[in-house]
Amino acid sequence: MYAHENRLTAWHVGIAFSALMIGVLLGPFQTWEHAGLNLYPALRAIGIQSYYQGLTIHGILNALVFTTFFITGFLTFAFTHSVKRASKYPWLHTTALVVMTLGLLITAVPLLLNGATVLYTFYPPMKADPAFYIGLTLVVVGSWITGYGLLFTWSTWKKENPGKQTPLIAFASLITMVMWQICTVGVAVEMLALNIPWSLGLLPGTDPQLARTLFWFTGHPLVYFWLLPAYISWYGMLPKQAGGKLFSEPLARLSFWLFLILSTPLGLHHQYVDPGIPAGWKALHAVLTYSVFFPSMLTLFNVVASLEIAGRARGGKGTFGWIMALPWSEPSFTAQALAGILFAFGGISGIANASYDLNLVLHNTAWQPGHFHLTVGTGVAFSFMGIGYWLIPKLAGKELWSKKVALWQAWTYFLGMILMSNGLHILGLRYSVPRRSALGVAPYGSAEWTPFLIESALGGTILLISVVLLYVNYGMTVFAGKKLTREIEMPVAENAEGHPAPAWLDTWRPWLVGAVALVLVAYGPVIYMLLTRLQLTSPGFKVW
Amino acid sequence: MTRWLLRGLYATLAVMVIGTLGFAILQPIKVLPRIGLGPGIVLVDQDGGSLTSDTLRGKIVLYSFGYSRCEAPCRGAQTVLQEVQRQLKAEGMAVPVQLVTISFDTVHDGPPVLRTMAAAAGADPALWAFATGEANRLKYAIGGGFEVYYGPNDADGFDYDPAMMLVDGWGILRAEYRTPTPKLETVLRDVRLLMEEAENSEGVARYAYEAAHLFLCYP
Amino acid sequence: MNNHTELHIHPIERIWIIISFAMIGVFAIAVLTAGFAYGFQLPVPEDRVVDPNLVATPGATAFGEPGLRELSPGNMEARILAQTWSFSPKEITVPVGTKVTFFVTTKDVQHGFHLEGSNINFMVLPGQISKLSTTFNTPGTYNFYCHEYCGVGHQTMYGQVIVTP
Ligand code: HEM
Ligand SMILES: [Cu+2]
Repeated sequence: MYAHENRLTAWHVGIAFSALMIGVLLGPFQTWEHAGLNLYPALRAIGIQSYYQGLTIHGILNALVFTTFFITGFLTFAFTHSVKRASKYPWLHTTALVVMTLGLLITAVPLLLNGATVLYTFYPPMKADPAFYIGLTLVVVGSWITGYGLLFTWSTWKKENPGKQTPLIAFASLITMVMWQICTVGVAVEMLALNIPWSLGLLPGTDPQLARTLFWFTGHPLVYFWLLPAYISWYGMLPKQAGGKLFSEPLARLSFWLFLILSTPLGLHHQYVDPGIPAGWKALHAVLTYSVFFPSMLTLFNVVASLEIAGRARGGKGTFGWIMALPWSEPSFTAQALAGILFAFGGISGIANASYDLNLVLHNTAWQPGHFHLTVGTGVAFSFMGIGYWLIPKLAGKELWSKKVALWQAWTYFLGMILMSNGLHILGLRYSVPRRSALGVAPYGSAEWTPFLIESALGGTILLISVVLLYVNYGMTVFAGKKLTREIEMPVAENAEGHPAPAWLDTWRPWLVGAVALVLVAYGPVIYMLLTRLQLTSPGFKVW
Repeated sequence: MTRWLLRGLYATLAVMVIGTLGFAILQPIKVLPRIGLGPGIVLVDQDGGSLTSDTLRGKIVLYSFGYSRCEAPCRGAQTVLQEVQRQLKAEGMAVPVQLVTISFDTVHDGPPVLRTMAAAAGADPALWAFATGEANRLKYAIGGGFEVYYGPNDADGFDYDPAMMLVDGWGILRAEYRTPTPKLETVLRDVRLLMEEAENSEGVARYAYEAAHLFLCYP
Repeated sequence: MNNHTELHIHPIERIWIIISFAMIGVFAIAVLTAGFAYGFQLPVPEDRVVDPNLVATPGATAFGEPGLRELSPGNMEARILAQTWSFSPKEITVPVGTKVTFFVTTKDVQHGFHLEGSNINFMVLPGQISKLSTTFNTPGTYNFYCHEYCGVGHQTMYGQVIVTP
């Protein structure tokens, strides 16, 4: 069924995990360098010129390439199998894949040749090779096309199924894509109006404050673009995988709508300490940031309650007994459950970051990589690895090579992340250790930092083992696995309570209008002010 | 029922968006940002009278700094102030405006010297005061309060970062001109904006002005 | 199409929702109260926008001769110019009890500025002046770090405040 979609998904997911493999392997080198074991001179042999080129590759491949490719692939798959209808315009999806891959190749050239060592945030006036900006723009454009493909298929499906409610997974996939469409306006404008013409020499200079503001317009909702597909799996699939049902489907829908509305108008919380943004607007975005915490609280309750249903259905008793009864021997479940646990802690450190004033202590310290390795590095990436444990066998038509190795992978990832992120959090909070710095060769290190740097390096080493196990398992499955003897179906959780969602949770217009209106109100005056004070005064610098 | 609810929602959103963007882009009202509370000041003017931040309440005050032997760095402000004085007298003032030139040479520039400075500048005593004060207090007010540096130099004069400060009738610092060559149009525009704001500081108009602050309607 | 409008919420979930709302409300209020009532400062637009290409020219701006100056007794300003990959001045010495206002800008790429163990933490952007102040009440040596990537020498970019008894 849906051979075309499955094949495309296989390409997306394959490229995603290949990118992650390169990106993630550089992670342990960073933790080792911090702890004093500098292997970067040796990495020169494979063309990595500096810590920062390595860090740029780590950030771009993990956080931008892996996520975007996996998500476009996974959502295409999930949407198709959820509405049970082949794409209306299969060529649109093929085009999307081609555009994204082309973009990736164009970006990869300067990235690997040290022509774009600007980190994944590419803050001007550091000037990368134009190919870098053009390539990344194409990746985003390709991901838009995937979204258009899904929307066309959906509108046809609606006509073919009058009166039918869109299934949860399809519905949430669409919301994710629409949210992405709204929020990428920022980075698209940054690229097309500033970065690309400036790097091509068509603009005399650029405005770093405006560029940062446009970047974070997209940069924060970007994390929801990463997160929502993981939530789709946690709500829509994980309860089924655990042997239960979704506790409340209507509230799941509500939380996706809230993400659509609230994801974008709060990016200024990344700019609390930017000199060019007025305090009142920072405070407004702080409050909005707290409000987007609410749908995540809904999710926490709903997913845990669904797992409790599963645990009890499997014979678990008592207040906590149901937890033990969950299918911990299933790697896909275990990986996602462990990812969810660590994600909750990432949410807590995120609340500290979101504070208008606490952020003064934490901004750009090692606390930040501590925080986002729990969220995107674990909550998202680890969940995607867990999804891979059923999706890759399905797409390859092969049995998973080893469940046991997969379980080892899950628990080592869990342990490694705990150690690494704990070390980084403490370094940032207690010692104000800056992030994005080759600490091992910095003149300002302190002996007090050492235990935590070592803790983090130990975590990095365990993570390396975990990642090797992951790729051996995926590789053996795809290239040497036994042929599947049964059909693997996408797990789809049923609604436990049998209360269908009310009609207002099925209408798009009010939510969409609300989302756009809130963005205009929250960003309009600030961006207008920056435009009236436009200073295209910064020429470009190549400082690596 | 649902339909009316939705219409209400859309109408509210439309008002919000049009209101915010309209205000921010068309800027029907312009205001100067509130930078912070101005310092408390105790001065003696050219006639030996006292001039304090309390007696200046309710007046828009444009402070400039210098000393009698000062050459180049004080010139820029002087020419601008002369022109501001001329234009304000010509237009008339709805809200009282006071120009204050503070000399930080407390040893040398007593009232008699201040009088010569005023005369040389062509200052109208009703509008433009020359003043000085007790050395330590001045340092707290100008250095600590306005963050304008000055200090004795080797040539028996003062090193000084040229600056002018605009304070509103509530004693709040509203504009800083930290340059040896302030622009006359900017200074006049700012003084006029403060006059308008002071005139509209009561009743409903006040809320419109507060909105202008919120929506960053800065010139 | 289904026409009912009621959203069914399980009683326990209702309690959870109330708790969530309360928690978010308390957080937001606490953060804003701390921020505004206790006068935490965040860097905000200063009407002192500078041209990054001229900012380091002596005489053009106060950053032409960066350094430490006394504004009033016990109150100093530190004008610090950031550039790849150093701060100038790199070291400032102040007596204990001094309030120091940091004014920092850059003449090239973006940098950061974080004084360890303090609330002095901001981005340093071309064309803008970042300003925050703090009072040094304990003698000692405090590092300030550049915390935004600014090129291959980024890890060497730091400075010190020496607080003398
Ligand atoms: C083996 C696992 C990993 C290890 C050991 C690791 C290690 C690190 C370390 C130590 C840093 C901080 C570098 C610095 O600030 O100087 C870092 C940065 C980062 N990591 Fe990872 N990481 C791993 C996996 C991941 C994954 C799975 C993702 C996302 C999908 C990710 C995304 C990032 C990003 C976005 C940054 C920030 C880069 C920047 O500051 O420009 N990492 N990583
Ligand atoms: Cu730097």
